[in-house]
Amino acid sequence: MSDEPKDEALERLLSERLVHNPNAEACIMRNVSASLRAEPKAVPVERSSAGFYFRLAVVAAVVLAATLGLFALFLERGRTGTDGRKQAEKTAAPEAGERDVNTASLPIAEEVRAGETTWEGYLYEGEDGSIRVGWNLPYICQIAGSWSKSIPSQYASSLRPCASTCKDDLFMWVHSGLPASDAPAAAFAGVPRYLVRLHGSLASKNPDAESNDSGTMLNPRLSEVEYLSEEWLRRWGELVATGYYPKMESLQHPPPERTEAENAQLAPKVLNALLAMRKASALTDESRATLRRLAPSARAVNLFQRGVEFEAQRWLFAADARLKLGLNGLAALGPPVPDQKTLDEWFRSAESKEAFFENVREHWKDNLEYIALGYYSDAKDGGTAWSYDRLDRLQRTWNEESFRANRDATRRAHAENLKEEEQRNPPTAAQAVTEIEIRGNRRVTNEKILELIQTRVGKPFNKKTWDDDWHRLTDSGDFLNVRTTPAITTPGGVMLVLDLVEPGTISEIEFSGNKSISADALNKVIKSLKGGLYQRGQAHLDARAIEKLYHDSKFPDTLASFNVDVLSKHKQLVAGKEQDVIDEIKLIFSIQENVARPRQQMDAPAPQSRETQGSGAPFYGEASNGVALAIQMNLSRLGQVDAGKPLRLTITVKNTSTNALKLPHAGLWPAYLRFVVKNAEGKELTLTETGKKALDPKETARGKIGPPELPLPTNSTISSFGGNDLAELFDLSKPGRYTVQVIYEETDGEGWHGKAASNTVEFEVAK
Amino acid sequence: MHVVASHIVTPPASKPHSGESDAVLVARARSGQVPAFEAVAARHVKAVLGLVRQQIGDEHAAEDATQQALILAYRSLHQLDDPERFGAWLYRIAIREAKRAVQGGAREVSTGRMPEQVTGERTNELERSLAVREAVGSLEEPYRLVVTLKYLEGLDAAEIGKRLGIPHGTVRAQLSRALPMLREKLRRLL
Repeated sequence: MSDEPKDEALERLLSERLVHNPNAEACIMRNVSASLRAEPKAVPVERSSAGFYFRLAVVAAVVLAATLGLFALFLERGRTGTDGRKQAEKTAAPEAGERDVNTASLPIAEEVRAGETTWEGYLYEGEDGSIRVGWNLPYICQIAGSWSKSIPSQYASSLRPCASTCKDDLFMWVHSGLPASDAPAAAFAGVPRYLVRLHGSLASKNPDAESNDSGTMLNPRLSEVEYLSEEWLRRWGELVATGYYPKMESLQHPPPERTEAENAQLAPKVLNALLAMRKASALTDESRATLRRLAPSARAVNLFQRGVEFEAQRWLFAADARLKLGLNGLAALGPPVPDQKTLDEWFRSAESKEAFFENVREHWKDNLEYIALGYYSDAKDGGTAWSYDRLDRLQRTWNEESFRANRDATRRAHAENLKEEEQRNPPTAAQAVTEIEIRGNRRVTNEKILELIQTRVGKPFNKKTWDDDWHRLTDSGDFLNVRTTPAITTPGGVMLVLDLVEPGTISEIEFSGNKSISADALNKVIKSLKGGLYQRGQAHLDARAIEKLYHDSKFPDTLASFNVDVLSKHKQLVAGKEQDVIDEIKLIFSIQENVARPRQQMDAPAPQSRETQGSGAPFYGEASNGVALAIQMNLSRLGQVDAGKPLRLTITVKNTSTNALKLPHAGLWPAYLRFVVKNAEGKELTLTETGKKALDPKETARGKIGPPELPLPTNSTISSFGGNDLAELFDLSKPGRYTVQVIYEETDGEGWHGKAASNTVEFEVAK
Repeated sequence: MHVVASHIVTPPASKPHSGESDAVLVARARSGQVPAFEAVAARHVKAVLGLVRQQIGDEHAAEDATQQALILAYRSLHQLDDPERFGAWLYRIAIREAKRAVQGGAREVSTGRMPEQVTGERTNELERSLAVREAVGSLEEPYRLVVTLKYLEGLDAAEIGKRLGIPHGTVRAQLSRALPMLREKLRRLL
């Protein structure tokens, strides 16, 4: 047939021209893997009764959300006219469940490809109907140095419901007056709600397009998304309505003047507003689920909200300390984020990248993404460039070499800036320091303290030097707490006060539970010394050193912790308040040997959630019929969690037997787990109402509905990925030490039967 | 409050996925093993990208749609009735994603529509590749699938049949119908 040769030619053409692109395929697989691993809770559930139960919960949630949505809509209709309603529908909160936002077509990516840039801003609808990301106001753009960009139209329809009409954004972004708490919901219509971060390139003929051109993004991929709820906006409005707001003060010319008495009256109102904002901006499973509707696997963040809160929080802490207000509830806000000046100082003085981040971590236990660092770098043209980036990103992207190069460039620029400042503002005779009062020191002499600081009596007062003195004293390691007062101006000059708290001394060190290694051997690996100063961080490191010694000595499943017996203490005035200050302590290291069995088996790497502390294998409790259980928590390196913060607990079940097992209810079904949480007195805590609904067998209809059996091959593990927030299951609002253990028991169903208890984790809820 | 309802099984690190069938990997992925899904997805990503690229002219948009299709497939695994036919099911998802990208972005994304005839000006290498891709993309779904799997992936009729869950005789029949159509569309390049 004459067709045959043509078919051969056709087939050759097809084979030659239909070629694949291995690089693109590898890139796709990397992104897919990253997306799937970033969202472990989205793991599909087997089609089964578990799936049914899961879907049932989803349906219930949707019905509830829809009910709330209708209620919200009903309220809104009662308050606003047609126009207001239309506008409200445009930007109404997705938790209202009024529509299903489906933006699956907007791709997700953590990685920035070569030649791409990242843009951040809020989603809004431009005058031409395009969906844009960025900041709408020109002068805001100039400040931020980034103009808004259009998003390609194929994504417009799906993003439009999330885009602000941008009519009221002036309120939002110049912080000059959000609606007060009694404002109707319609007042929030048009206020941008979705803040996003996108990676992509830019279609523009302008060579300088990235910074100052409002072009169209090519291949935009969503990285992070933040949603501002109406509740949070309302609380922000309340904060502004108090009459104080830091940004507002900096933007008003001249800034409003208040007396200290007025500040004292203002502070409690700011505190109340802040507490409400903090609650509204917390990233919960619910808020993450809301965001997932916009972007199924983009990372949910609350960076903007936290930024607003931290700024006011700093003012509040300063006012409390300065005015000796003793505000109740201040501790619930958690420690303030390190201020820029402190962070700059840490950066400039750090010997290495590791030392810098260690120092940050010592002071800031929360996410690094909340802190940004401004730094200089050497530009290609021989000058210096200034950049500002989040610490989590810098930690990822800087290596030691780039860290040192940027630090050195920043040191040089800082020295030049100081020189210029001194030339501009030479000290005057009227600002000479007349007195430095030193309080609270018992062991360290006044002379040594005056040697440590550089501020001198009789010399002109320099605020920068005085601020740096705080670091000098803190870094000396001689003090637990250092407070430097602001300068008190008197007719003769400036008076300064130093409030110091010294750490207690270690009178005794004790080891308990050590059977396999002697106390002498343990004493050699710890750095805390009898007669030396007690430093909590060092004691924690010592516990890790003990674990390492056991590990190296073929006892891999040993757990070490420490606690302190206060032997003597005294009362001391600190910032006007009387406090207990520890003088002597007994440091006790408790060692649990053989907490996991069998020892000889190699653990598979434990799945770690983003928030789970630690990178080692989990510590298993004693196995029961071949099943062992381990728990891990998102604690700080000191074993602490702040009161009110989520306390994520990851449960891992392992088949330690030599046979394949079947777990009757997928291993981790809540009704078959018992959480034993005890306070420092050993009293077991009862479940909260939320906890009862989640865990109480009576509430969860144990045995009636549950997932099917799950095969668990020998040496395999299953983990819960930190889905349990212990702070919701139990009332952990009271600061103090607690322990938690989880017991997994199966008595019915097909497969493994037994009762396995996990390791016990001790933790401290800090104020 | 989210309480544990999902889980991950961590298999021994040394256990390979290479010898396991799609159905086995799908079953393991359904029980929460992301690596199993990655393994089965890696098998098909070449064909998926090829199919999507035929519909979307823009290379990056095709990559994004492919990525989205794979994530969507993972999230919808519980809806897959016959794990043996994972490939065919995944390709349908990919084609749907590609259509959605094309419909949503007529201005930015090439629609991939096939011109009636390939014009004589398309003579250089790039143009030849584009013409072939467009010609294959213009075929109806069953034909496009088998042609892509045969000439992009290099599979024979039996392997294609296995992947799509259809008899290999059907594959041969579809190929024999697809080739004359392609020959017609590409005759100026032959």
